[in-house]
Amino acid sequence: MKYSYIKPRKKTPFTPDVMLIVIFFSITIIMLLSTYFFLLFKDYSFEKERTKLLGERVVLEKNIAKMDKQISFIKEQKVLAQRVFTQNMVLKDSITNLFDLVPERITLSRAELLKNGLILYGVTPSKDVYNFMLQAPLRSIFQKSYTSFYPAGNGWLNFVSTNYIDNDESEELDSED
Amino acid sequence: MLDKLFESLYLKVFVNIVIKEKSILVYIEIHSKKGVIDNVQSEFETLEVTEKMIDFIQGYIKESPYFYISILDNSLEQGALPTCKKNDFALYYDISSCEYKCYEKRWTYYTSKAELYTLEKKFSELGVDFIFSPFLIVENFFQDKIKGSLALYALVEENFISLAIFEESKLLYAEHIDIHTKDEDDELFLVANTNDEEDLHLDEQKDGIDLEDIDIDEDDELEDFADIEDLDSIEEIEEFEESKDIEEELLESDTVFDEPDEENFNEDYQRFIAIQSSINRFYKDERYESRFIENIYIADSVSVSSDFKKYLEEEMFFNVYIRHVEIEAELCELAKEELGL
Amino acid sequence: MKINISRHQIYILLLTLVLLLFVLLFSFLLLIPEGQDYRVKRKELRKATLEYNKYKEFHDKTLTTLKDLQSKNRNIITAFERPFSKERFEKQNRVNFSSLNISRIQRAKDEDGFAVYEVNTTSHISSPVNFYDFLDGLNKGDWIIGANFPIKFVREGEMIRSSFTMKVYENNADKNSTASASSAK
Repeated sequence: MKYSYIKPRKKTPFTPDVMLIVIFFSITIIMLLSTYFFLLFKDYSFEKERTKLLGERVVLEKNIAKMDKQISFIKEQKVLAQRVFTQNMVLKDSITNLFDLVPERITLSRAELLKNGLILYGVTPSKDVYNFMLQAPLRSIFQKSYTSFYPAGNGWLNFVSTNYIDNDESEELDSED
Repeated sequence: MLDKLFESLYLKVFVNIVIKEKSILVYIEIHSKKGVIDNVQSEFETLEVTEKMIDFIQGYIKESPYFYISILDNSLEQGALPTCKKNDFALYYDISSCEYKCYEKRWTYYTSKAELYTLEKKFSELGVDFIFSPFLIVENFFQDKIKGSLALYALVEENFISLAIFEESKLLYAEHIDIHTKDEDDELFLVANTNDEEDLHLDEQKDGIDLEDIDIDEDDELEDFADIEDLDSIEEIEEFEESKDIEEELLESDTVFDEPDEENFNEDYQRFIAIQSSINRFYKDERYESRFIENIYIADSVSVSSDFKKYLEEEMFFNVYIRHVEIEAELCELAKEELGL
Repeated sequence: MKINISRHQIYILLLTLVLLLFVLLFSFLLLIPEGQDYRVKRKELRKATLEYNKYKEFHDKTLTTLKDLQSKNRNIITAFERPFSKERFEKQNRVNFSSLNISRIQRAKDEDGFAVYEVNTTSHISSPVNFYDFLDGLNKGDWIIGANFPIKFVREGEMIRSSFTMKVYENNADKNSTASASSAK
């Protein structure tokens, strides 16, 4: 100091009471600010999360639709396959029935299976044998049934049996008996 | 930067404390940027720091955190030296246990560290910002005259005289005198005060006592008196003064009835004696550049009587100029200068 | 003049008021709306999560169903995808036949949204049993094949010459379009 023996004390407007107020409010404001920023951050993250979820939901929706399509497609495949297989089995049964139908004494030389008909070529010992053994069952199955004979060499008759089922339904064979 | 801003928002409060003989004077000034806006003072009849004093001061301190408490140093062991060179200090006085400061590289003022500490401790409840030496007041109060020719400047307080001899801004000699604790020689003469020839009454009893007392010493002094009549000799002058007093006592009687007057006279006389002794010391001591003093300037804070002036004029043939001083205001000025206001 | 309230105290008061004002304004203008926003957003998030979880569950369920179907019908699925190979077919079914010839493959009309290839086949079998076995084998074969009319059997010496049409079913080029309204269902 210029003249005084002693130096003066430090003068500051920040007296203890001022400091108290400042500290108190600082703490309060800091808490408020941190809460505020926390909320801000949380809001942002909530929004982000929500948008993400919405996006993912859309994706899921698409996938579900896709899978549904796939499922229905597979079901269609299954149905068709089932149909085909059944048809094959039915065919097999029909053919089995057919050949079972033919008695021992009659020999087939040719058989034509059509959608709605059946044409048989064969040899029979006699007309009666044919009529009893083959024609009768054929008649019971088919609506229309024609037979024509022409003699074969050794006293047997060749026959051509034409049979039709008169139906509108295609590929439908009665599997009966 | 920020500090300056804060400072400008507040007023400044200057608390100036002067410790007198039986009381403490507290002078408070309140400053705004423009200048003084208020002042108030109060004198407390106590030499200790009381609750009343503290309450009074704190009432004003709370106005602003920028308050400065200045105290006038009342140490016994204090003074001033005519040099600022540390090596030369020892020549004049052993200030190893003193706090000192150099004033404008011209002279040094010092005070006892112990007494400084005591002073600080005394006001510790309030706290102290500045402690000023009375010599600063002398220099400041008479700054226009100090530049000029040789003269003696003295600050008269209730129980001290701080005197300094300046010539053209150079300090030649300074002494801080306590009026109430005197040399043994002086004490004897304090008992019986005398004025100039105006007072004709003398208590014979006292005279008798005095005479008896004087008789003992008189032997030596009369011898001296007989031997030397040269006023220029310092020692002789001292004794001459003493003997003169004796003669006057023999001639005149003392007025005992006017107690206060007597005290005043007493004190003024003591003051005169003190100044006289000091000047003699100045003349006698080889360490100081002694020259004959013609002019005395007194900064008077206690309203000395006209007798005081008379004493100095007639006994020592000085030209005496007395100016009234308010020490507390001067203290305040010093504090303001410290802060650069 | 006796000082009643010091400047310093006024400053302190002002400071307190300003800070208090700030705190109040901040709380009411910023903090509380933000808090409400928070609650709202949190509720919305919960809702979205719930919905999402529902979807996820359904998705997982559907996935399981799909996987299940896929694993159970693997053969059929692969059979539909497999392009018909004359050589492979002949090789596989040679077992049942003394001779086997694929004569013609041509694309026919789609059935049920699936591509159909008509394949004419002639073969020799020693006995109808072979044909039965063949038909059995068809169902377990590499393709979805349905034997179709007309089927001709002609005796040739010891062998029977059999000729028939097969319908080979395959996935249509754009599998994704199941435009057919699945009457087969």
